[in-house]
Amino acid sequence: MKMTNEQFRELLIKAQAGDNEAMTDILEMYMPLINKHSYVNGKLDEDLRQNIILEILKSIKNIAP
Amino acid sequence: MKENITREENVIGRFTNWVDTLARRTKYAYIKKESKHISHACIDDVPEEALRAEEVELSYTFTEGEGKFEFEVEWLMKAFAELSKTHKRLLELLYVEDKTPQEAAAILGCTIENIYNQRSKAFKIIKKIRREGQSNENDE
Repeated sequence: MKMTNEQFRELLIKAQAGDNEAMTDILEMYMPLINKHSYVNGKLDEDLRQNIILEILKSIKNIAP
Repeated sequence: MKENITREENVIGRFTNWVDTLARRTKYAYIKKESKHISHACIDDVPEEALRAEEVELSYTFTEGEGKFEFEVEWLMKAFAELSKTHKRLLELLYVEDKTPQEAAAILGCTIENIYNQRSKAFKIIKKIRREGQSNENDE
């Protein structure tokens, strides 16, 4: 099911307020993009993937919903 | 009602761009950090100037759906326009499509050493244009 901008905004606000379930949903949505950036020399680098996820978790509060 | 879709309302698009940029920056910082600790066999074959060329940081963001990328800095856009088709293709392969030098060499049908040399030359051109741009700004 495709999410509308308004639905995503609500999800983002929940995630920014510390809702773990909303945060997990967002991460799952963006996992293909995260994985795409986690490849180094043609191999999936798990440490890099964790770093990217941590950066998202740390910085998500700073983005305006 | 396309006109009614403002930038503010496109939350998904803005968030996707944000994740993309954040992931790129994290990857760049991670690779830079890791390269200080890991000695790579191929690096011994890289000429000194090619290694120094790494100091130039390329900043760009993707424009979804258009298959093109936009530079955050104007001088870099101008410098990129000055490059030859081969250099443009090489930098696209290495920094937009995230190919390794080995993969880029296979695609362009040349040696890995040639990839490093051409990348170094492309960076030299970019640096030269940047210096020229900076001196023009100072003159003004």
